[in-house]
Amino acid sequence: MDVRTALDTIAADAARGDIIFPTHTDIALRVQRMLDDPDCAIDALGKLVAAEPILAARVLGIANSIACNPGGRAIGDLKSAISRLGFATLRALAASIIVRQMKEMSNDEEHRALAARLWEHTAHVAALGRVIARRVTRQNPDAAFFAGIVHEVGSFYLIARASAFPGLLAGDLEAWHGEGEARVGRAVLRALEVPADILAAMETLWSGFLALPPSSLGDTLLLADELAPVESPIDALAGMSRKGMDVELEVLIDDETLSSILAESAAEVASLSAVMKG
Amino acid sequence: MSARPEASENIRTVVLKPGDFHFGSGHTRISTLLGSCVSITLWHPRKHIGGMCHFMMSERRRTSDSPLDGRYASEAFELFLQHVERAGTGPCEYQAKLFGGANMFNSGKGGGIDIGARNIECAHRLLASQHIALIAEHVAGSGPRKLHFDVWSGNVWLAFPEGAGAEIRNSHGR
Repeated sequence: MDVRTALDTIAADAARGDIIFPTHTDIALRVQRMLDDPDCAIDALGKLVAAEPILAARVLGIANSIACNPGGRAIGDLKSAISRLGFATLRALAASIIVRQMKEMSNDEEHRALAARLWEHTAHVAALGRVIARRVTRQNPDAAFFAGIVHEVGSFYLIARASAFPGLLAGDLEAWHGEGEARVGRAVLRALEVPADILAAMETLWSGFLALPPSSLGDTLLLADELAPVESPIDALAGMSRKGMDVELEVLIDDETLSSILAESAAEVASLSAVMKG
Repeated sequence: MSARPEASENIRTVVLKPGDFHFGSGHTRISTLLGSCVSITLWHPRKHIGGMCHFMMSERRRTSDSPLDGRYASEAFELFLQHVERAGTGPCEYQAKLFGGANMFNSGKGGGIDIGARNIECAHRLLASQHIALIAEHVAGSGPRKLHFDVWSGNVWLAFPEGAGAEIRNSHGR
């Protein structure tokens, strides 16, 4: 089977809704659904989060990071951590558990290494996106964080399915960066019941057109993706990698420059991406 | 600003080839594809007029009777200044954005003559000479850039598929 046919098969399966998430993502999905309930009680939410150790650790880690706790007042219980973060960030962290587990879906060692690298890229994009949203594009930081976490779900799914198509990731993946990634990504995001504003931002990401100066949630995501110090390994496989030459990017934001804003925010970004990568 | 650069029957699209120049108003979208060449967009935020050039080299020895040639930065910029004056405006009333200047041969820093870097430097010098505010730039790197400039809004849309891992330019030196 050639690469294009394999990608078509994967996209068609995803579009039919034939997406199986790892079993241990069940609690993260239940957290997402509980957050959809307008009468959601924080006590019940705290108990549910506590049942998923990785999610619980990440909730506490982010709540105590420089980004969310600039005053340095540490908290150790989940209920206080959820109150500090808010439901939007908790939703993003629940999604991160699902995406992170997707990297364990392949039995192939090489594919798992690729997925681990993709997760590292994802963590950087989510952390950068949150800061860019707050300081540069004036978008909702939680939405940008969420968008960063889910922005490579299509590629995670591709890696998870790759062992069924021998040689797929060694082939020419140019078609993946055409309509392939968007088709699979849309299907996976639908299965994750991702909100409409995140889907719109993802469409901007897939279109590839960044507005300069950046302004929308989609621009936030594109910019974070471009500035992430770890690039997507799928981009490299598809021949879309940078080739060692630095791009010089500068934008005036009111009276500040993008470079000065990001230099000031470096510790915030590092604290967030460190928790996400862990 | 929210819509992506989508096609519409009401939009007049002008595609610039290397050396081309366009200045206008209304529902005009100026598009181009850049490698080591450089495009400057100039936009007047009150009058909603502006233009784009696409130059290939910094300058040449030009005789006084030869027409301006948009392939050269200095002459493309002179074309800009002529249109700015004809519109009854001054250069410093415009906002500039700068794109392109890639090293398409990927010879590495210091390897051979980097036409892209020279073009970027020249664009900076020309804009500074007229005190035009440079509000965004996305330059250098090693891949092609697709560019759309919507004259009616001043929006510029950039696709840079090989752009992962961009570094922020430090205005005080890298």
